[in-house]
Amino acid sequence: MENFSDAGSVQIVPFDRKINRNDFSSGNLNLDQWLKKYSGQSEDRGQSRTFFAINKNSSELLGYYASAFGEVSSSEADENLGESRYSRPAYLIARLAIDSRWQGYGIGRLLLFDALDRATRASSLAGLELVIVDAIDEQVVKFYEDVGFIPFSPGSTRLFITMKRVVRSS
Amino acid sequence: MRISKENHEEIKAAAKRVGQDLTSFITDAALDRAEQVASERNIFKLTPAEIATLEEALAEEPKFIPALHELMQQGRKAAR
Repeated sequence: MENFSDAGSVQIVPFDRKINRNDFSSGNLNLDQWLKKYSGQSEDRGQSRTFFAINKNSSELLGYYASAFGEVSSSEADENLGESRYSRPAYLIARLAIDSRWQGYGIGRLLLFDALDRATRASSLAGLELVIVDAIDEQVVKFYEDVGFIPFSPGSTRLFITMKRVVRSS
Repeated sequence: MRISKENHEEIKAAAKRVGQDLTSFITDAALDRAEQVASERNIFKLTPAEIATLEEALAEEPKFIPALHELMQQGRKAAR
């Protein structure tokens, strides 16, 4: 378990329509539906980028994540903050899912590595202060916390890690 | 805000149907739309407490996280 090689030769590749998305089943309907129905549109519009974990030999889709740039700002009305509206540039791992047949093989770790590695490279091109993830359940919150992510508030499933921490630990 | 008589009547009727006055009906609708636009642009609204948590993390001397280091090293090895 937790060994990338157990799933065969795994490769991370950018979104590709030739890779079959229809049989993908992570057990989370939202994540599966988004991949099948909306990932292509989102890719075409440049709203987000999706990356696939595939079996190098068979091209079977094992997992995916979608990332986008975003920002955090204040929920308080802007007028209370005067000119200096609160804003921090962020890299968002919007969705991350593993096919249920391949859960427990460390593919989520490999996808997270890929996303953090790309975020690190992006941060050298333009300002980027944090990475945000949305965890689908408590178990996933624990997974992110173990590698240094911090919940925005106690019990929250939205977590962040500072780019400085990623770079320092890379 | 300029609005045609027809539109005004239609909005007023809809507000009445849900028991709201015109101002709160329009404000609610506009706020819903503003929230939708914000989420499309990936803007995450944080409460003051959440901002404090984030600012504390941004201000600190970055910590070395062994488990993250291991994940990054494993990933690099696998990506080769």
